[in-house]
Amino acid sequence: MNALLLSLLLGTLYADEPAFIPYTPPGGTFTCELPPGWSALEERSVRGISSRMFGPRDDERVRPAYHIHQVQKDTPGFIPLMEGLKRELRCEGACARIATPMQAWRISERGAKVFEVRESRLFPQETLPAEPVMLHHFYAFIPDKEDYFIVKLTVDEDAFDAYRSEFRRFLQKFRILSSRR
Amino acid sequence: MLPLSLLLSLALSLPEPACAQGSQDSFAEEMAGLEPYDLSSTPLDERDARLLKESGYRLEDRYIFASSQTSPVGREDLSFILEDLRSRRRLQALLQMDMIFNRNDFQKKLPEPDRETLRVIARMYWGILPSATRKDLKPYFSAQEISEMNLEMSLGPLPPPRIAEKATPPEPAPPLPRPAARSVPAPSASAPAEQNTTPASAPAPLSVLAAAAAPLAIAANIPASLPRPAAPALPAAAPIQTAPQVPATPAATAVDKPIPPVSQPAAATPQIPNTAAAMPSAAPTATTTVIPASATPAPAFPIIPAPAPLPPAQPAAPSPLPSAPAAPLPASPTPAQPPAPAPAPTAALERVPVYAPSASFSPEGFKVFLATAPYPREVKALLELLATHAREPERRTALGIVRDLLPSLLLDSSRSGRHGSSVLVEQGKDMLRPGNIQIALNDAPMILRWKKLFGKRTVRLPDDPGYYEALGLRPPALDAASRDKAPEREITEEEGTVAVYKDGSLRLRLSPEQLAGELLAALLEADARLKGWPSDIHLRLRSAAARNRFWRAYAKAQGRQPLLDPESLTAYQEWLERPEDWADLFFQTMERDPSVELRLLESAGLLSSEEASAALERLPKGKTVPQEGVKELPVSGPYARESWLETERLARESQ
Repeated sequence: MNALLLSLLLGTLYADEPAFIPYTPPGGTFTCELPPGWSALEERSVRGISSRMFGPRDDERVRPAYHIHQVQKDTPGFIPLMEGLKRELRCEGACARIATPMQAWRISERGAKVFEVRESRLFPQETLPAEPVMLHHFYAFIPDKEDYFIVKLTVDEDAFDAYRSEFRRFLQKFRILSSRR
Repeated sequence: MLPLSLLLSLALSLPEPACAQGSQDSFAEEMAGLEPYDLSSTPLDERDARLLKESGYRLEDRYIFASSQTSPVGREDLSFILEDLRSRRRLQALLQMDMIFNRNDFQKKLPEPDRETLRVIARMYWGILPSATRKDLKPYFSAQEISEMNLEMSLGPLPPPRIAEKATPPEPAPPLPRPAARSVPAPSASAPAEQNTTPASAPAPLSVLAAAAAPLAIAANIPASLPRPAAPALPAAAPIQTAPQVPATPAATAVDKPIPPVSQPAAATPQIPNTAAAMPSAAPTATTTVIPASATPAPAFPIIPAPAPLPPAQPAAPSPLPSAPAAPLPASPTPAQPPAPAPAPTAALERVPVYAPSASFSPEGFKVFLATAPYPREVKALLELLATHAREPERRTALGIVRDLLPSLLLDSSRSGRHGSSVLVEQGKDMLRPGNIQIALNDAPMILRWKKLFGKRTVRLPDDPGYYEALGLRPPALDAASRDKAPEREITEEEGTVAVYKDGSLRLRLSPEQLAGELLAALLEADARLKGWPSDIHLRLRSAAARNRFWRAYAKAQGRQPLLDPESLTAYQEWLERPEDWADLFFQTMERDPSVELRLLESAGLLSSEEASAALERLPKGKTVPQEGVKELPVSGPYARESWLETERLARESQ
């Protein structure tokens, strides 16, 4: 009887938690868990390989999306991790970015840097009508030998608080599968 | 001579395009789901059709197949395949001409046979030769000939011959120098009769181009299934020309042997049912005569053969491809059917010019062009900026379109639709006809601003009346919405330079360097449309990367940042420093959300709340669709993506 009550209690506690779906991109560089209803795309990018995962469209103006970049050392325009971090935090000229202080995390058995950035951008880009929208980016820079991963979640500033726990959960499940070297 | 032979051997051993090789399988996987090129809806230019056939491609029913492949060539593949084939032809033509000059000690005054050979080669490949080579070849042609060749090069091929003209006696082939000691076998009785009727000015097939290699005893890399129309194609009455004195080589003397008609075994020359029937004038024989290249070395000098006619498409012919694109074709050849009564292939015979991006750019030549170009002063200023600061290859591609196709370039926000920067409009079906492309730059986006309890809200709005009409709305009743009203003053604020109108409405003023960058992006989009690339996110990335590259070159030359509006400046700096972030935002705004747009118009007072609610109700509801697992988004065609990455590579390597 006690076991039945306990199972009912646990079932009630975890009933609302969505079942996350494991995802590994075709390139096999990492694995993660995504909330249900998300779509994914992997392709070569400017400095390596980029995977993008788009959330379902809700009432927010900006569709939530994870952008995961494997920045590879032997690509044109490569900059080391620390220089990349500096550029993310730097704000000059017309930029309207405000970054939070960096935190040190342990992600996929590697020492990573995690921080958040708020910035105002015209949304949508290149199409009218458009208006400035405050975006909220969650960043994690994860070293991988001479390469590094940038894990980024971009959401509407109005809804960023709901995604902070999601980003932490995502990072806990994020695993780098194979290094290039 | 050794380096030349080395070059020639390299040219002849150039690999086939990716689609024609064994890697097609993996490539086809990548291209799965893309639309095949449909000959019935978009007939090929006759020259391109011949080029493909001579390179081993099969034009069957409505589709094009690479040799030994069963999947048809994709629509967006074709322009790349043709570019590749033209490039190899160009190299071979240059080598042939180089050989002629080489044996005459690079004297400009050539003996008559060599001069005539040079003229034939140059005439055949005029459109694909580099401009510097064309300039060097001008002394060998009259002014009228140059004018005709230039006209055909820029405006596309001349109108197709009428069907009735096909039955008229053929014009004699132009006299071509050929070795006096060599004999050409008379055309066999089974030679296709129509080959005598084809114009002699058509390009030579690969086998003929490879003929120049014979004195060097270099084996030509000719597809085994390539029909060899050279010898039997010559009219019986054609006189054998006198050749220049060239030492005979074993390879060359082999030409003296008559070329025996070889009936290939079944597996070597697969024939598709109804292919011969699709050619009204095809040979009535049941087997196809195919000569392997290695068995019969070609003559030492190029011979202009009667080219194979373009097979007219058969709209009524059943095609299994739309229903089963990857269905395997029969492995064994099917005997060709006797020629059917000639249908009226008017549509199939229409020559459709195929776009070839400009291969070179001369700043001086473009300056001369601009002096007489039919553009207003403001547009010419933008084009001059592009000619000065844009980087290669974007510059020659974009300005090549301006020079060759004379697009209509407008600085008019009222014609740019919903686009924030520029819009490309195709006027008419044939984009290759001069003046048929219209590019409208949004030179002054309209700004609507109103105060809130805390702060203010700013929205950029289109001022194209067509945009509002499509939504059932009236354009905003603002002075700034009318391009006929002049602003009261100009101020500089956080939005950039802004024109203020009498009623307080605003318009952003964009600098010439910003407009030139937008023009470059729009011209590159026109280039992609001309190539048949699907419009997708990678096209936008490619155009935007080229635009940023132009701004960076401009900044370097001027010693200051380009004058851009704040959003464009932010994006430009992001592209310079954080290219991943820059691309991320593009991807995240890939989809236009109509509900967000409606709410924005409502908040701007352009739509009542009732109208907005009714419009929102009408929108399709797609977010509640259940989904299992993670949905993989479709990957678009590779060419726009590769072109974008190449632009980025060039930009990053020169940093």
